[in-house]
Amino acid sequence: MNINGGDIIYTLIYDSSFEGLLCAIGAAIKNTEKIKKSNLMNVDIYISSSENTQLSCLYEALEIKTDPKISDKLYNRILKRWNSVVLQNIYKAYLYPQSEDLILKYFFILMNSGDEYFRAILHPQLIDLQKRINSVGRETHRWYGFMRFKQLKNGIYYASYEPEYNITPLVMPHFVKRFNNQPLIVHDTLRNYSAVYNLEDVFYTDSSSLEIPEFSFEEIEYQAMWKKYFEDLSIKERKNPKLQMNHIPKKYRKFLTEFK
Amino acid sequence: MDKLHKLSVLAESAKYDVSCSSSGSVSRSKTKNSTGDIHISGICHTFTADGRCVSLFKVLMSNDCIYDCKYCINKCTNDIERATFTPEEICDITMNFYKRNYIEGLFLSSAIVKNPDYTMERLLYTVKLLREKYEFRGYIHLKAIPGSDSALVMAAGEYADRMSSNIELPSKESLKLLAPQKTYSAILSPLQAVNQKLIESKQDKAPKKRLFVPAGQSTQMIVGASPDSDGHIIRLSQELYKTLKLKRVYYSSYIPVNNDSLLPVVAEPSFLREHRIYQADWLLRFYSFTAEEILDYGQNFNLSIDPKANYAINHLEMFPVEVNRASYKMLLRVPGVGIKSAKRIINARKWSNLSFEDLTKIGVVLKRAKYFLLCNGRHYMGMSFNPDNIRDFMLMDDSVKRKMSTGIQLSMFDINRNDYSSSVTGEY
Repeated sequence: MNINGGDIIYTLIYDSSFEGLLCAIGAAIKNTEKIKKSNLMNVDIYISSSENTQLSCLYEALEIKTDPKISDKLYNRILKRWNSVVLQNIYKAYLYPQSEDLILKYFFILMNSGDEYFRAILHPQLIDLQKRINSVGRETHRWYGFMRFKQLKNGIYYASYEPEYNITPLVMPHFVKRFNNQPLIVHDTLRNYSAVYNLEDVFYTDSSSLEIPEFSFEEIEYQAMWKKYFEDLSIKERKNPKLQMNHIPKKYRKFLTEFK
Repeated sequence: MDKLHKLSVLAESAKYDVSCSSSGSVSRSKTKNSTGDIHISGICHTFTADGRCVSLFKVLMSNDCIYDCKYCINKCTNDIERATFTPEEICDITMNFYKRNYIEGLFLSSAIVKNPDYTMERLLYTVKLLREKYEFRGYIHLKAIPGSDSALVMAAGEYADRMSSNIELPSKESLKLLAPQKTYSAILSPLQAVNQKLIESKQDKAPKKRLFVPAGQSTQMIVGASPDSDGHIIRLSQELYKTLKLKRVYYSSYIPVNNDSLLPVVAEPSFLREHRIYQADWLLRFYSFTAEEILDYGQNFNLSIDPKANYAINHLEMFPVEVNRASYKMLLRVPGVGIKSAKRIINARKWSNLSFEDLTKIGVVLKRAKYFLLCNGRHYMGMSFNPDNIRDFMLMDDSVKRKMSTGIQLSMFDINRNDYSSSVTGEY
């Protein structure tokens, strides 16, 4: 531990998993309370994922081991003491790069806000965190609409996409809920990461070697119908490509059947 | 005629129905073989070249109409291709579009085939088939056919999330002239019957009640095909919201598709007028304005200034308002402060006194609002409150100028985009 004029600064390094982050948060809270009790004036704890950490001699780096027991405990405490919205906020913030310190700040504000915890996210110091959470939320919502499943010869409904953040674990439950009688694959081709639903369970897997069979015969027929329908629906007198572009930016279009 | 060709004919005929909202409904109970769900804020699945959202598979069961409404593309005296879908065909396309995540559900309407009862019966049969045989649990918006037996409409309500009946034109006189076979009473009666049942089912405290039109009702009217004024139109909307508890009134700028001596000759549809009416509609529903405050009866909107700014410059005695003390309702009257900004202000001032800098930080745009606000008793950058300058500025606002010069369709027109934020603002 470095001591700079009464300030204690150290950085907790975690393995970049969500469980790891929860363990680091647990450690940060525990240590802050301990140090506060022992009469030292200030303590600054930072959290950083092992992917982003640069070595520095200005602070001490402590590696945090990921222990599922500890992360499960904190996970359940969040749900019990606060609610699932708080947990979702934390998860969405985790998906936004380098938000660990803001998440920690959110925790301290939550701990001091009593029954008003649901308002903690509106705290003036968390405006930036709020924007990040909204950004991840917006990207998730857009893909709820823009994901396109294609029926393959083997009956699986397959969708590929390239989201800005690693939101596959956020979008998959939405689709399983509504397509519970269809086998599904959601494939993030940017990260080579897939979610697979086999009518019973969902699992997440690396998919760099995934081979996609051909489309079913039906698939080609319904794609053609959808494309024609999409063209017919537009009112020529109201043509407004700029407005269309605002709503559906170019980066989404290559995944959309109707724009191909 | 093959399915693809029929689809083309019947989509072409359906596209003038504006509503595409898929928000505000309730999940239906699922089974192992059921497909679909609803999403509380609605989901836009794509956007057409006119910038409108596609959320629902919007289609007519048939365009083979017995009526002769002057403004309508499907009127019986038009020489266009006619087509009719079977209920099975509609279910099949809906299911297959849904399974690929193209849509949130179905918006089913129809021209009047044979007679109103026959048409409503076919619609009812179709949605029943979709819910029961295909076990579809996505969103269904169903048109109630004016003049059909109310028992049929009520039965359909058990399968639909939303129902609508279009009042078509903003006054009885205009309707009589342009849609002689339709009457206001025939159009309003399904809306009234459904509303009555909705009120009763609200009072019904039984734990397991059957769903009935859980996303409420809407209507639509054409603006610009008749001489009715904007002041008249927003009073009519206010009345519809109050007495029939409609979720939405949609407005569509008249686009000439037919030639008829009774119809006005318009060179360009007035999308800006439509936009101003939508803005006023928002003021009625979310900003606690009354129609009387917004515009005098018989008047039309000034196209160069939005209705809220117009209200502000005519009521400068109410301004400036103190950010740290003003009520939510008063904050909402400030030009440039919307529902989100007002809510942010109310929340942020619980923690500390707000300055203009703080307002910018929490995302309140000051471009227009700065003239009407005080922070801790001070004007923005020491500006003085000069009514003449404010009037000049508001009328000169360049964004307004830009819109004026191009006369483009504005994004407020798009309904579902606003539904996006419904969890925050309750807009549906």
